[in-house]
Amino acid sequence: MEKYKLEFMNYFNNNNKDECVNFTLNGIINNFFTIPQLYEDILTPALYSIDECPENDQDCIWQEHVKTSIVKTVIECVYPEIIKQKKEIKQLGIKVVLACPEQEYHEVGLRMISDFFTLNGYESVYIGSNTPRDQVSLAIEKETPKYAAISVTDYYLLFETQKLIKEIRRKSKDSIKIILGGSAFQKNMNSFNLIGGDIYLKSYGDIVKLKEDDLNEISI
Amino acid sequence: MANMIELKKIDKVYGEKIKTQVLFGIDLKFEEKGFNSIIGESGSGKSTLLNIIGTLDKPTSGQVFIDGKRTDTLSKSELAVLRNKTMGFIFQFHYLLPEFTAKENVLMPYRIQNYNITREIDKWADELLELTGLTKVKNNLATDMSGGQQQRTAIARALINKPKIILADEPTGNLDSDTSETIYSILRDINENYKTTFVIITHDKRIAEKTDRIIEIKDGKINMDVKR
Repeated sequence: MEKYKLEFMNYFNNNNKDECVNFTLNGIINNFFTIPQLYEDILTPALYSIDECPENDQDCIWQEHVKTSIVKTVIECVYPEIIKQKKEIKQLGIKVVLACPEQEYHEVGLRMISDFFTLNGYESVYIGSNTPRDQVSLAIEKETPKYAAISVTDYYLLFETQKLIKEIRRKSKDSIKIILGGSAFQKNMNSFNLIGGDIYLKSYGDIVKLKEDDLNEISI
Repeated sequence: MANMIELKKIDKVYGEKIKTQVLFGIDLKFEEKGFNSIIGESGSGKSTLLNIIGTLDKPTSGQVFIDGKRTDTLSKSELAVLRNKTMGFIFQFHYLLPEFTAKENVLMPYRIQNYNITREIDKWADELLELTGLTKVKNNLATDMSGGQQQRTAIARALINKPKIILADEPTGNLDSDTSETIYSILRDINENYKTTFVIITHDKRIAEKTDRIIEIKDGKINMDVKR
């Protein structure tokens, strides 16, 4: 994977969106790498590489936006392949609603997770970034998912996330399992239970494991 | 990293006949050089907590250690010395003395203990006024400055005795967003350049999310304590 990552980074560092997309589609179609490998081993490190923005670096915010936009375009371009693979995957009949709390604009990680759920036979209802509490509740009321997956990057928003989870639990009468993920938890795993999370996910492998648990539950 | 502030089982009850408990068994430590914020709704107890940390108020029970010194065993005058030498305070309102200039206000905490202003301290005051962008107005009376300039003067004043700790209660509460950003940058520069420990109470998301640790006080207890 390292050589694919390096090639992608070469285009990425030069803000070459066209070549990033061409390289990715070529890699997926020719089975050089899978979608989970693309997301975890190429796109995630690429995103982390733009994350370290010195506070006084005037140049880095627009650069970060350009690069994030490249990653978003790559992910959307891969979606037809997900539709294709979905047809070959046994559907579990389990819904997952995915959202970021209000004022959380970092949604790319959650978008990747949404596709991971789809690739494992779940029905993903991807809401996305900056979602007000009441809107998440309304979506849950309408979609009646088994899981609500919430992604948090800005650690200040852990406080808003706690309120969001309380609201979800109140409205759903505790019938929904809350999945949490995102870099805000990396240094704050102690807050995971306090916030009200049930499951912490950080990788594709964790979703594969969740699927196994769900399959076991279904077979029982 | 050593603890600059340590609170052990702090309770605070107001009132004699009708008792209102505002803090419940708070245990909290702040490492030296930390840049921390405290958030919470109005009436949650966060200002009471800051006043107790700053020895401006006493807990009903529990102990406060500042730079390793237990404060409840100190006399009033010893406490005043500890406060003056170890801590700087910034409030939402600047509390500048209107009949003095910006520079005279900045020098005031030093003058309380040392009547004569040495050349060294005079130079330090000028440096602080430079750091806070006030050189051009340093000879203006406090009343002849803008709100942002007055607050920056209060920051410079808090630093004149080179305190190890700065306690700030809503330092940007009265300011517009651009000025708040300037104040934040100054506080962060001070933290990095002088290794000062900061505890900042704020409602301002843009300030809190830039601190390295956020503590939420809810109903007099620590609800959550998270790190960047």
